[in-house]
Amino acid sequence: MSHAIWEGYISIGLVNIPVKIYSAISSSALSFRLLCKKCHTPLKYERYCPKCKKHVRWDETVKGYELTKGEFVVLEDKDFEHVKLESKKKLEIEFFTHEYDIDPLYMNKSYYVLPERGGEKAYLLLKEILQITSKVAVGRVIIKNRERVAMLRPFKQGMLLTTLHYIEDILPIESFPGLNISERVSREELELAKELVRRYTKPFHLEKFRDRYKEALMEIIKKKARGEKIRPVELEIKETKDLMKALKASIQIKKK
Amino acid sequence: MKLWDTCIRPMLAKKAKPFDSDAWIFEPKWDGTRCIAFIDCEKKYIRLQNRRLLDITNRYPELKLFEDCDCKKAILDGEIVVLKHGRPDFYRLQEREHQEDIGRIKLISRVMPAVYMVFDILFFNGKELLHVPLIERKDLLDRVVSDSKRMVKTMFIDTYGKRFFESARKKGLEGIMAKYKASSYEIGKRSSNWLKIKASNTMDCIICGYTLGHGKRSRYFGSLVLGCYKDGKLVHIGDVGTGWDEDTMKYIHERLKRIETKQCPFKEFEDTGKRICWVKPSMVCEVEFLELTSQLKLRAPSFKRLREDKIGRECIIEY
Repeated sequence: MSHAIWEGYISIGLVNIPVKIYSAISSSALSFRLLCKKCHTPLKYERYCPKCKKHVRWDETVKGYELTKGEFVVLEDKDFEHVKLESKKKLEIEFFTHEYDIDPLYMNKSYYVLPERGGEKAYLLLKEILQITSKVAVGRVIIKNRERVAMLRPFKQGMLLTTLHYIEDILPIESFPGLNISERVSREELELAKELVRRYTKPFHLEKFRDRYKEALMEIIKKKARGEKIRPVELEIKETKDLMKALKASIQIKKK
Repeated sequence: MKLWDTCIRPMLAKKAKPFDSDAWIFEPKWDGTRCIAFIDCEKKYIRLQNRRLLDITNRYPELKLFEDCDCKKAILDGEIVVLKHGRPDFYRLQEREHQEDIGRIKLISRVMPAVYMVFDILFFNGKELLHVPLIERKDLLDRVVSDSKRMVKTMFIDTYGKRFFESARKKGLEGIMAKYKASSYEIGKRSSNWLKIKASNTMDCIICGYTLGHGKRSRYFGSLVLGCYKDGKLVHIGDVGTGWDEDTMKYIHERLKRIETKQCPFKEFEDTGKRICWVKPSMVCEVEFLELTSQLKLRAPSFKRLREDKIGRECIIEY
C-alpha cells in the first residue's frame, strides 16, 4: 500500500466526512537511468547558464513565462503565494449527476477515497445513496496545488474519486482533418457489420491484456543480468561450420 | 493434390547402432524443431510447418529463407535450431517455442535468432522430388541453397558411419543420422531408409501427473509422472525428478495446473502412497535414461526438454 496523498474532508451540506485519498494507479512502466557509455556511471544533471558561463543552484533560479520568443515575464515564489487557493483540504460536493454525462475522455486520474476514524458511517451512507440512486457526486478539490473538478462514485466496497480535465485542455475533434466524408453507408453494409459485431462481442476482461513490450524488454534485462552475452548469429554459424569441417576432416585423416 | 498447397508430414527415422556402408551417407543429428519450409522466392513468401503440421511461420520471423534460395519455388526439410557456441541449444530453442505474442517474438528473435539447418529438398520450381534418389536431392539442394545467417546446409559424409559417430559424439553432438543414398522421400513414414544413431538413450514421454515437492520445490512439484503408449495402451513408465532449473520447473508447473484432472490416465497404476496430481496426458517431454528395466520402467531418468512439437500419440516405447 502506498502513502495517502491527501487527507481532509468530503463536505456535503453541513456534514464533513474525514477521509484519506490514495492513488489508485501505480505505473509499472520500466524506467531507466541514463549512464555514461564509457564507464556506466549515472549522469549528474546540472543547470548551466550559457550567458554567465556557470552552473546555477536551485536558489539562484526564478520561473519565466515566455510572452514572445526570448521575452519573459518573471515570476518569483511570492507571486505564486498570491494565487494559492484556500489550502484547506476539502472536497466540496456541489451537485449530483448521472455518470454517463461524464465522458471517459474527461477523466484524468483516479484515487481511492477511504474513511478516517469517526467518518465511517457518513461515508457508508454517501456511498450507498450514490449506489441506490445511480448517481455520482461532483465537486472541486485541490490536489498538488491545482484545483481540479472531480467526481466521486461508489467502487466495490468503497469510493473512487476521479479528477477531470478542464474543457480548455481537451482538443475538439473538429480541429483535425479527415471527417468531411461524402460517402454514405448502405443498409446492407450496416447489416453485415452488425452481424460481425454481434459475432465478436464478448465480456471485457482487462487482465487478459498484458504489456508485451515491457515483458519482452524485461526478458532481455533478465538475460543480460544473468551475464549471458548476446553473440552475433554470424559467429555462432561460423562455429557450426567449423564443427562440420572438423567432423569431415576427422573421417579423412582416418581413411589414409 | 499438389505438394505445394499441402502440409507435409516429415519422413522419420528408426533407431540403429553405428555402422559402415558405402550405400549410405551420414550427417549430424541436430537437436531442434523439425520444420518443412515452403519458399516462394518471387513473392518473397515463406511458410514454416512443424511435424504436427502446425504453421510456425510467425514464431520465427527472422527465417526469411527466400533470400537464400536460387529458385522460383522450393520445399525444404530441415531442423530449426538456436545455436550456442556453434551447437544447437535446446534451452534457447525452448524459449523461442514458448513465445506467443508478436511483440515479444520480435525482440527475442534478435537476442536468440534461430537458424534453419537444411538437409533435404522435396520440391523445386514446380517439380516434385519425392522419388528422386536422396543423393541427387542432396546435389540439387547444394546448388539451390546458399548458406547465410538464417540457413546452413547440413554436411554429410560417405561410408564411414562408425568413425563419424565417434567424432560427432566427441564434439558433443547428440548423435548422427544415416540415410540410404538411393532412398526416396517417404512422407510421414518412420522408414528404415533413415536411421538415427544416438549417443545417449532418450525417450519422449507423456507427462501424466506430478507429485508435490518439498522444501525449495514446494511451490512447484517434486517429480513428473511419465507415461508412454505400448500396444495402444497408456502405461506408467516411471517418474523423473531431476534435470530442470527453477524457471523450467515454474513454467511446466503453470502449464500443468491448467490441465489438471481428477482422473488417473492409466488403466493400471501401482499406488505407492505418494500423493499425485493427475493431468490430462497431453504434454510431451524428452528424458534421458540409463536403460529400460525388464518391467519397462526408466532407470535413472533425467528431464531433457519439453517437446512442443510432439503429440502424446507419438510417444511409443521403442525398445
